[in-house]
Amino acid sequence: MAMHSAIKGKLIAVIGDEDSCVGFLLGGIGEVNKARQTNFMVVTKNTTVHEIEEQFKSFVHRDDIAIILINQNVAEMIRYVLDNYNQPIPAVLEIPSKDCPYDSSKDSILRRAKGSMFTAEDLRTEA
Amino acid sequence: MEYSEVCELIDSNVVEYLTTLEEILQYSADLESAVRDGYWFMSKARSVMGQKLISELQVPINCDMVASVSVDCGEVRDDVPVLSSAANLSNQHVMFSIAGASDGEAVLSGGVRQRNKGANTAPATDCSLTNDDAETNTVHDSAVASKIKDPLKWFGILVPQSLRQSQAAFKTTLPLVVKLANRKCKLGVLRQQHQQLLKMKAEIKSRDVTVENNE
Repeated sequence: MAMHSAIKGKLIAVIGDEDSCVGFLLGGIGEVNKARQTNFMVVTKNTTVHEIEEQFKSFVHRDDIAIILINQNVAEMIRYVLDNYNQPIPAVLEIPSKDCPYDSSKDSILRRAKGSMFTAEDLRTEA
Repeated sequence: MEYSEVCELIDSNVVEYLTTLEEILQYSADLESAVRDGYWFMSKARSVMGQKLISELQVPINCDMVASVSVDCGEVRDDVPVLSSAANLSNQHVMFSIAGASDGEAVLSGGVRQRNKGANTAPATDCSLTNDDAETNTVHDSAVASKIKDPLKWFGILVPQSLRQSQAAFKTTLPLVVKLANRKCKLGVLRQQHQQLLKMKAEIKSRDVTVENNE
């Protein structure tokens, strides 16, 4: 399994509610590696913020993962971690969940992009 | 570099940035729509099969589970050569693509390539391999390809049509996910370039002011 990932490419990981995980696993992204680690985490109402944070960090440190998909409502729970994360690989993408639609104003990357690109200082300099 | 040249570079950088931002918003809307379809069909399938028969409990985490979709990562140069070469800016950013596809953009029209269906098409680098190596790789590929199973079978043999539709909807999201990841990486690079250009502009301006004062 690990050999195959190494030859063919990296994985997409998911952190989210049951429907998101099952849906993306149906899409064919699920894998269990030799260490019996999965590339998905189902977040329920009993899952703690610490567990989500630890799972996110473990995905970030795994070198066979290229993209991490995370439900936006789950991302809100570990926003402080996502705001500090700025590595290109794995890329972190926030996706809508079944209950909460996607809100681009909450997305860490877009917020960072909009905030730092056009500051009041830039406009003052241009004027 | 002249002051006006830097200003032009900043302008083109901002245009590129806004274009990328617009693409991100467009792809996000497409992704949301596809994911919503997936959720809807999954709910329909649940109403047919039963609430507990489509859940994480059916996912075989104790057996061998192999991803049928994977992503290639590589570094590419920015597609705005003027912007980066003139100002000597770093224009490399990470590019993701679905494994086996030549271009992330092409994947959307062609659908996601499944690992077990493209084992015959070897990448260009494999041309240098000896016959033995190639055979070994083929054996590995075929062995792993045999482990890849359709995830629909986790939920039974005769699954409702709505579950198949849900699977199709989630499969269409994967190329969008890759496109979004690419655009977000590009956005970061453009932001860095913008900051460098502004710094450069300020330096040139202060240099010109000093020269004028000396004269």
